[in-house]
Amino acid sequence: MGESEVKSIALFFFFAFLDDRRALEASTHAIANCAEKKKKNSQINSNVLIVMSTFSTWMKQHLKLNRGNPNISTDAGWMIPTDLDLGPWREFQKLATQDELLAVIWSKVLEIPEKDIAQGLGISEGTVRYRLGRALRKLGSMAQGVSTKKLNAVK
Amino acid sequence: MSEDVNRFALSKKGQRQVTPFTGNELLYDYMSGILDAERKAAVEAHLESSRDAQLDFQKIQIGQQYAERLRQITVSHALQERLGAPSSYLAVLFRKAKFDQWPVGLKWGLEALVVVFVVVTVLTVAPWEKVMNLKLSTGSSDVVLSEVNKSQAQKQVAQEAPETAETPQFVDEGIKAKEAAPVATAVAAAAKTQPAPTPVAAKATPTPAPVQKAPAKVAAATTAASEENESEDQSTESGKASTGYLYRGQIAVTNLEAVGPKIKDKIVELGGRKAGEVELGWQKTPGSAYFHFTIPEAKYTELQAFLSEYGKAKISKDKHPRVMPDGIIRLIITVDEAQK
Repeated sequence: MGESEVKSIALFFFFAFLDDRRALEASTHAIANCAEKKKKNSQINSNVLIVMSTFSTWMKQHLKLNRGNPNISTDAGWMIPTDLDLGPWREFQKLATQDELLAVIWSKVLEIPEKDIAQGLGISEGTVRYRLGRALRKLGSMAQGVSTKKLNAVK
Repeated sequence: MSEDVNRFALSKKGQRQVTPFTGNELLYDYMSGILDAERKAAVEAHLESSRDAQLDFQKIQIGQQYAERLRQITVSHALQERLGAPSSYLAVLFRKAKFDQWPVGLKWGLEALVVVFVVVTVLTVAPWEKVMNLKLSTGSSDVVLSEVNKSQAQKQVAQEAPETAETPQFVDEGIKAKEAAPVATAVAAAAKTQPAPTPVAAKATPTPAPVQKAPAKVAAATTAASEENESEDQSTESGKASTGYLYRGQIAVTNLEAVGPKIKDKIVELGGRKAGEVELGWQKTPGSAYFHFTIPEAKYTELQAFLSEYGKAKISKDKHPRVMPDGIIRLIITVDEAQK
């Protein structure tokens, strides 16, 4: 397993769970799953592999998650910029559907191409784009009131 | 391309229009820049005419920008290394066995089985006999303080030696004078403080033990202990295999002054004989009497029944190097005054 893959998987579960303990547990599971799949098929695209392993782990563990009760700390090893407001994301993580949440993390945070996401999930690219459109609308409406000034400053 | 265009329904002016619903759904594609020129123009026209579409587009833009900002969050190198490290054997085993998918009842059952196994192993392996003996031996250790005059003791020993030779009650119970020497001083000292005679102690020459040199002479004068030491030495020297047994017990009674003689009489009645140097029912301390004796094995049950009338007797059968003749058993019973 490469460093970038480990990092991507860890970040995926950080954003998906917003819970240190669960994120680390799921990451360990997904990394093992990813390594196993890679052993079976070494030709497989690493982005597709990340999507597949994170999705299968999410499906097993998301039921245990109580969304809307974040439990994260920098002590666990996440490096969060001090000026970054995670409020909109917490709200989004709580209210968004599973498809929307995962699509945004894969595509916008981990920068996995839509084609690879579609291949990993076995769906069409159009479906991925549709989910992303809806997800960004939701995320935008949550980020709108909270951090418009900060976003403008970034612009 | 012209064939593709012909497939779409065109307006009267030959323009490819989009409905508000489609226009809104195409906003993300429009922002991503993947629409063809004609579609792009149609969506732009829709954006100009629809306020809702404008607001939606703004939300998508803000969402996109916010998501891009989230990329600033990274994972520390330490965490990456921790996650990338190979899993332990146990973790791999659990994963392969799909332990997390097992029914809860099965998991609990397995855990209970492991706990039971550990408990049973501990109970089986632990040396309980030693532990119990340790507890008993610490409970009955009494020390009598006395002052010993070395020169007087030597004279006394010289005078009394010929008179006090005691005939052994059994073949293996003979007490050798030489072997008794190390403990004789202590026994003699104890005898001075107690009314009970200690004849064997007198026949040995006292050795200059470090204890006697101390300003306040302290002699561990538990006669019983010295007897046992003697007997153990004897049997060790004679090279016999240690297959004998000693019944050691304790009983707490009310009114020891009255009960002590009764027990003594009963022992005598049952054919018991004193086995050590002190008389039966020797007053070890004001609240404790000491019975070291032998009785026929057949009478043991009767003795137990008799003792149980006065209190709960705790008698244990311990291995001892001294071998008794067939049908005879040796007992050391301490009768204590019950605490109120």
